[in-house]
Amino acid sequence: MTPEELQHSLQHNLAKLPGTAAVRATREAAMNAFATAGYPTRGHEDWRYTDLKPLADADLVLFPQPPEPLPSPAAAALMATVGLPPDAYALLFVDGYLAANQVSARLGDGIELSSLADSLEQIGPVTSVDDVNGQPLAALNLAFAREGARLTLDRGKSLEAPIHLIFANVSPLLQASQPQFLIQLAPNARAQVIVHHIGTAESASWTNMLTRVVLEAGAHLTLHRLQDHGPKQLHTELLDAKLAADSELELTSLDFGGRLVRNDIHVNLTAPGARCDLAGLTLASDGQHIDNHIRIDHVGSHTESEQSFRNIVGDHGRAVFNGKVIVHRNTKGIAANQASDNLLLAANGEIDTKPELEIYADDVKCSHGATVGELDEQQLFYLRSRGIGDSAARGLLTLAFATQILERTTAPTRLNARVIAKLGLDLPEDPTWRPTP
Amino acid sequence: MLAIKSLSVSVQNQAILKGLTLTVGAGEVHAIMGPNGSGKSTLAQVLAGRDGYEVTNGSVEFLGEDLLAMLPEERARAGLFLAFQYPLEIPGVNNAYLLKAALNAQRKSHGEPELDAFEFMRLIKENMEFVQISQDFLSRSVNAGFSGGEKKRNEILQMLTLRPRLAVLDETDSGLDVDALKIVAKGVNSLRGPDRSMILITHYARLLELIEPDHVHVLAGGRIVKSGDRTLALELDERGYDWVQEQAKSA
Repeated sequence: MTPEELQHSLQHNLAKLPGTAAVRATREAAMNAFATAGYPTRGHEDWRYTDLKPLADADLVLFPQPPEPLPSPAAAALMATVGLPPDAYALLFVDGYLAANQVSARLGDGIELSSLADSLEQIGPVTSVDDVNGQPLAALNLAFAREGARLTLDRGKSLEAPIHLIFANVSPLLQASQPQFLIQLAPNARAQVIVHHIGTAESASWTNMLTRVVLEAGAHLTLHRLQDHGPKQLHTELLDAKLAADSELELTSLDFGGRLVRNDIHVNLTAPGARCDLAGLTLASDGQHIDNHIRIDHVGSHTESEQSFRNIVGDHGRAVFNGKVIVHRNTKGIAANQASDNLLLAANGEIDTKPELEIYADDVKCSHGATVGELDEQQLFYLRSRGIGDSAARGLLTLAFATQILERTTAPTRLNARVIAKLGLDLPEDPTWRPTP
Repeated sequence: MLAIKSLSVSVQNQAILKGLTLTVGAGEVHAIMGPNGSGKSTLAQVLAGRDGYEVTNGSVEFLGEDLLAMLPEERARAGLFLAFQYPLEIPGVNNAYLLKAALNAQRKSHGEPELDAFEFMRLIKENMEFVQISQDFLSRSVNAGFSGGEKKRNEILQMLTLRPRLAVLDETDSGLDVDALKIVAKGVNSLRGPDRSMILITHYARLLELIEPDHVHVLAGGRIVKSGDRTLALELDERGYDWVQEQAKSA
């Protein structure tokens, strides 16, 4: 759908979207920003490897009817695959509509979780066009956002259990859902949030997500993002995080599903002591194209960033990693490490990895490294020399490569099983077995 | 147990082993000594089945089977164990899992039932105590971040667990302090028996004071140039290798 068609559709359907008059004005301004910029094209260096033409050409359904009933049996079945305990703090969205909220009423004083629609109706705009400056897809999200969530924690508050946001897609139509998630932690607040994107084999929807994180001094956020869409789905996302002094963001980002996926992660370390620890694992095979673009701005002195992103590419898969670290002028005591490790399991797969450092200061400790390869022949021989067959040894080493990222999550066993199933790994022993003390 | 006949091996078209003949009987411990570059490690790698070594001549029979026709995992399951000179680090695979997988692969191939978790843990704990490895080791990744001594003790732990018919120890003594060396020797000695044979590849006689070999061979220029009993090891330690090589040349 062209930007003009999108704009036209928004104008005619503005009343169907939630929010105050100020929200509507923001939507129109954001739409103008997108119409001016257009879809990012491959002529732009940041989009060299990823072509959004499938979106521009698609006949998108922008204002679908809410599915009935909510959640549908298909969504409920999908939800079960996430394996949450029944009392978990979970918000469930189906095809962009809020289906179940098991959380908001149960949180303590000073902790608020509201649906995006409620926030837009009651508070007004929660994100401005300036907040997404230079990010056309995020501007598009701002124009069309219907649902999502807003989490705020007051000073010193902490969540006793992680909050799960589950975005399930079941519709076979190429419909767009544009969820928005805002996380604002006041000084010294702590939270853990897990965002799941799941879809059925039939689902053909496009998710265009905007996640904004604002951490005040000393706040701590652990954010896990588990994207396991169905094989036909499209996914674009901007995670934008601003970190104040001594705050910390710990992100684990997994991409297993989707046909065309592009994630942009921007972290701004604004003040001394701010730290981010980002890790990701991508599995791309069977025609999947998954692109992760990271940008970390060290604006404040004595800020620290860690990145460890891994790709496993199988038959006809393609993974792109671009990690940019910018150390700004007049900063000192910066530490930045970046690792991009890639495993190519099939000759017809493709990996593009590009670490970038832009350093405009002297007192800096930066490292980066990228590896692209097949399994290590020496490790393979070592396992075989212990009696483990070739195929099982390969499976074990592939899983080991993934496990080092999955260990950061709260569900490594389930996710390991997902990796084994998706890549069809052969293993010598039950991988869930652990030594008993 | 093992019969190596006129074995010649090349690596990248360069001949390393040149007609090596060695017979190891059941229950025997053989030491293979020799200067650097003589082909000691090549012999170990070829026996274990490593890729990249081209056998240009000769044969190796292990327990009556053609060893060279077997895959590395088949050799291991048949009872061949190589203690690596440089054990590999495998982040993301824990030690207990590797031990269990290795042991069960061997048992399955012999038609024996797999050990249940309880039996397995009991066996492992016993062996760990024997080589003085602490409990937390089990859930750590294979050799990742281990010191040189820990890696070698881990090789011995694997050997004790798998109880091979033929163990080949490739410079297991290198880089070890006296205490670690004693632990390694204790592990090896505990496995000595009428059904089990060992080949100790070493540069120094130090290990052979703790593990007494039945036979000592000198490997030089890709061939066994001298064989003897354990007194040969002591002589080599005193006099170096030059005289043996001279003798071999003039012979």
